[in-house]
Amino acid sequence: MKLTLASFLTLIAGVTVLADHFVVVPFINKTASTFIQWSVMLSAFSTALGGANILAVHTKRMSGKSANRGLSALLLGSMVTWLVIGLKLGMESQVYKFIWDNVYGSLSSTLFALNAFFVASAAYRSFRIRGIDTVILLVTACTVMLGRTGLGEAIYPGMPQVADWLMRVPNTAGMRGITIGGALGAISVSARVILGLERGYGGSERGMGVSGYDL
Amino acid sequence: MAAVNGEWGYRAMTFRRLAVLDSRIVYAAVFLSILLPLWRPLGLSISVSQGTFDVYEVVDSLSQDDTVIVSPSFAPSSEAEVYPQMEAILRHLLARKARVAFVNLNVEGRMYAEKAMTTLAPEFGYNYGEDYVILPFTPGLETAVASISDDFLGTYERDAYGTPLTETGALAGIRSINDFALVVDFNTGDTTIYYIQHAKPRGIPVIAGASGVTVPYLTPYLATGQLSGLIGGLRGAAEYETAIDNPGMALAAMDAQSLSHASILALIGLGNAAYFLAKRDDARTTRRSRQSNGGELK
Repeated sequence: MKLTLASFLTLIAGVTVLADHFVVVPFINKTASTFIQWSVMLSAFSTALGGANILAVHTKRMSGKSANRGLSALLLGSMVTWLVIGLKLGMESQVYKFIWDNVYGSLSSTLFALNAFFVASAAYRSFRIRGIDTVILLVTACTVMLGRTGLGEAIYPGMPQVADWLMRVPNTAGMRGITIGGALGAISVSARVILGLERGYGGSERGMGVSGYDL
Repeated sequence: MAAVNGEWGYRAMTFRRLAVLDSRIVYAAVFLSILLPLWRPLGLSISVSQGTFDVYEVVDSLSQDDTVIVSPSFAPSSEAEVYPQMEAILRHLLARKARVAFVNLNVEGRMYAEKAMTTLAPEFGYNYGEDYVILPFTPGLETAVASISDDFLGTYERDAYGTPLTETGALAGIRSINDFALVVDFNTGDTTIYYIQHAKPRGIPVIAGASGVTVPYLTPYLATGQLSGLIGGLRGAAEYETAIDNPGMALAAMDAQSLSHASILALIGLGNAAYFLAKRDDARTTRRSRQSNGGELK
């Protein structure tokens, strides 16, 4: 019953929003607009649901004998502290901004910056010329990397133009293929969801599996 | 003969060791290549590419009455690349006296909008509410952009600080997305594509600033004209700073990017040289070993 109701609501919402793109019927256009605004509220609710889920999972882990319960405690402590500061003092407060700049921002930037070292190490160990395909890959990578810097321009003034050409022509050709393929896949999955053939989002009424074929 | 074999074996071993160099040496090389230019800049010049010039032209064509959506859709992980782009383009927008509405599709957006305007608003004589507005975080990414494009005032009734939008002078004449002159999205993901899909069909030009890894995903939209301009990575920011004649943090960091890229390329070259020399010497060692044992090879 739950799955049937979810499928029915999905069908109504999907067809209405889809029809909004093709027809000018005030009732359909207004209803689609309302559905789109509801989806923003649902997204906000799902964020809160995600927070509640983290709270539940890590509280359980802390109370058990997990070796990582210290990390769970740290996660929950950080989450609750920042939440309370945000709610009590507001996002404009100096304390909130201090945590943002000196904890969240710094940690996030640092983690990403470490990639530069791992990329260099991985490239040194693994980027080996073993055939014509790797030669093409290496030459392209070198050209784009140098073309995006002042050094490449100092070596050969036309380097940025060559790098731009590589991005505009071969890259665009490849990306178009990937984008069109992805879009066709998205259309087919969307059609299956709207028609009720794909109902993984609703779980299973029997509490096992997510297939939509078991009705 | 044994001595010769030993010599070749030793060389092959040396090259093999070089091919699996200690990670710490690689890390040190990259670290120094970033640190040294920041300490002693090389002053390498940067030319402005056509792509950056296209973005400049779009922004430069705005007039004082135009209102622009600026969407800081990036996180601290890409701040080093994308924030300088945002600051450079904002400088240009504010110099053109355009009114700005910051639309925040991720939680970090508001912090970047506040950070940028704390510096730029006093410099350009901008007042909050009158000349620019920061809108609250809108969850949902694509659905958020669809909602904004479909019904702007239905999505936002108040700004990020709780003031009704009707009381903000900056958005006084705004009834729908069609009243905006431009969307500028700074992204590290798909948000620009959402603006292209939902705002562009309503006639609003979209330009973007993107991190280096995002640029390949967006170039197909440039070719079709769906994206009116794109600046990519730290170089894009440095080019824009050059275009508006206001050298900033991107130009200062470009030397570090130049040398770090060069060091990675040098490491790839060294790794390949070691690999080929080790392979060649392995072959020689095997051949000489066979010769000394049975003399099959002449």
